[in-house]
Amino acid sequence: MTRLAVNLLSLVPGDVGGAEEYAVRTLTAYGRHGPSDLRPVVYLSRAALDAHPDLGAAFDVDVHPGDGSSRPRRILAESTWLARRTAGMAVHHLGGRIPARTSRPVAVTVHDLQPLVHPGNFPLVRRRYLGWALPRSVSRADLVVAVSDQVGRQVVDRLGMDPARVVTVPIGTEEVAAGPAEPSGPPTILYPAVTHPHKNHLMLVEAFTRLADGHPAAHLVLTGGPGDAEADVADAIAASRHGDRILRTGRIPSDDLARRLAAATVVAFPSTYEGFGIPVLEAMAVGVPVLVADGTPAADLVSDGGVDRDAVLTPHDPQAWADRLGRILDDRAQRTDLALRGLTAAADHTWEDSAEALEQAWRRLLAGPDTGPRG
Amino acid sequence: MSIPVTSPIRVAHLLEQCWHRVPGGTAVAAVGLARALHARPDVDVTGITARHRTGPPDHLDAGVPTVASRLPRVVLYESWHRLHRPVVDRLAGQPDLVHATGGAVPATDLPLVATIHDLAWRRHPEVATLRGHRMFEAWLSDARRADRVVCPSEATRRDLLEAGFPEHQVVVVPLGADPVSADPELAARLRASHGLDGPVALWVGTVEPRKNLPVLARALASLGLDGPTLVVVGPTGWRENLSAAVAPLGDRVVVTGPVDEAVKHAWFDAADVFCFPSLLEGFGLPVLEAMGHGTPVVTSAGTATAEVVGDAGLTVDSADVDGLADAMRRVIEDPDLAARLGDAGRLRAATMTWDATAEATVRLYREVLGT
Repeated sequence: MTRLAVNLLSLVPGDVGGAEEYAVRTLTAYGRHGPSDLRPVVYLSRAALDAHPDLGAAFDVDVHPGDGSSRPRRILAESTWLARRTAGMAVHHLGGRIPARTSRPVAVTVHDLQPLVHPGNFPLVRRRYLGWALPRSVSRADLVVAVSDQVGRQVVDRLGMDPARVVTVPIGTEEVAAGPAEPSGPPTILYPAVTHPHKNHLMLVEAFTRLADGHPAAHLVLTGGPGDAEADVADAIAASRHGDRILRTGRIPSDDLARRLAAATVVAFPSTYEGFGIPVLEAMAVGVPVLVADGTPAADLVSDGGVDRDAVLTPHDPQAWADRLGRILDDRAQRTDLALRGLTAAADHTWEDSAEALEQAWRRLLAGPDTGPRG
Repeated sequence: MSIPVTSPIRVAHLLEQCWHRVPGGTAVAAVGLARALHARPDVDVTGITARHRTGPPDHLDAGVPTVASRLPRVVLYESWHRLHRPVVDRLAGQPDLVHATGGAVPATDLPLVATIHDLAWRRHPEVATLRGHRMFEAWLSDARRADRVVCPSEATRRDLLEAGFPEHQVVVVPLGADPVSADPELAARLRASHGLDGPVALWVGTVEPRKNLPVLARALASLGLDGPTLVVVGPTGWRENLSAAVAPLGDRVVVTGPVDEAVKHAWFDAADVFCFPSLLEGFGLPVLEAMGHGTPVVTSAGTATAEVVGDAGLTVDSADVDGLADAMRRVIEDPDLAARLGDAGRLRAATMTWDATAEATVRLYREVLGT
């Protein structure tokens, strides 16, 4: 039987954000819940293995001697070292693109189409590279693994991929909380996101400034590392008449984030573009109410297939966000309902499901390029 | 009468209450019914529960195939009540109908039967916690969605009608008890190990205010130094200071705490009288169990236990300390009366089985389904 290789050379600890989280978490979930008769060899850098020793415990690993920090060297290694080591194997590239030389059959994970949809979030060289590499990778793939159904649809609609060769392997939760979270401290709106322009921090700062007039105890907490909009966000906080109640923490350790999340009154997630929106699922799973922007996978998640619209707002209307957030701060019953919806929806996204979806994707890949269902 | 050959009725039972901290009689009733239905060829029962790491206690394992939601209980109960979701139909394998046997009413688009055992928290608000009140009120209000509401006694039926349920919606189906196997040796050992050589008055149940234990203890204490010893068997529910309640009895009391089923049954055999003066019961399973053992019963008038005991016991106003004391003395001092009540209890209990409960429940299911 053909053996399976998983290419994780793109994994640079601490550098990739959501894509790193997705790769490590889905593989860890597979390690825990996946079948023992289908175990791929994982190719990754020493630094990545050191940062995620669980992967070494769950899988056979083949460690690349480089430290992974140089992007051009990494890309070169994928077409040389990796291509040699995986000759004759089926390969799943988890990093969002297929190297120039690869063994086949080949699958690629697509996290989002940001380089095409929001090119402004990327430095010029990277934007050109990604804008070219992503469509090219998709067109060469026997199987595209999308992180959400919405990304899968975009791969079909924008890149012309055969829908029969696109599968979704979503992220999941381990176990949802026993009930709605009990907020503690002052009423707090939390937004955990890197300050990329598409994350829409400026709108949220404006919305908070408006609602804070009538909510003298309310606070806004912005966690997450700096992105291209960091300076603009800092300016907006400085200009806000309630800037003293807006806390910009920057990137914080995951334990701190978990504590802040559990204590928050509501999570506002006005990002206009997401592959999946891991923090949204996390907030739902701990029983914290979440408001999200329309048209994102996170909106599919919280609105239960579009049935519930209470938690979904248009991303560019600060007054609507101010009103809705204000009502949620004021009304415990609304918070309870939102939290219950979130818990219910989160329970439908488990790591067992993710591992099973990944297993099915791999079995399809191993069966060869032309055996998938036609549709 | 011809019996049409049809495929079994597929019913999903909510069995989550078997995992409640103090499951009480309503869980026993749910399990008794599920087991009896499971034994019939014309019904397939599937249990529905919340997320759990372990099974229920052994005596509350209904032995039916069970599907578990991924959600914990609080989220399920609250979401069913507040949001009418998640709908359980697919989880339960699209059965013919859903039976909410207690604790909450699942969200469903299928025909629905809901069981309400009693409305005690409305009659006696002091007998339930605030959280208990909220859970019971949610359960009751969601039961209004049901095609039929099942209750175990005329007493509860009257309370349901008073609460605004229409007459055609409410059906009385009495509960049952498992056939008893006496173990006289164990009964004798229990008496000996607790040094009980005089008369024994037994009480069995979940210790909570509604059970009226302080009045029972005062009545027994009034019988004097040579009066019976009270044996209290069962777990403590909530907010009942048992030691304060039984203080009037001095050392004439034995508190066993929770015991396994065999020991519980042996206590019925070891007792001279079973006394159960609850303020209000939906049914009163321990009364039926005592009857099965031929143990004479003294219980409350004007609530469901009087229906259950019929002519197999003495009934007294639950607030009447002297009346209660007098009834217990009569049973203990008059062997003929005790024997007559015991025999009547055995006869009556023989007709009140879980099979009979299941038979009446299947008739109800057929009525709801129009089959």
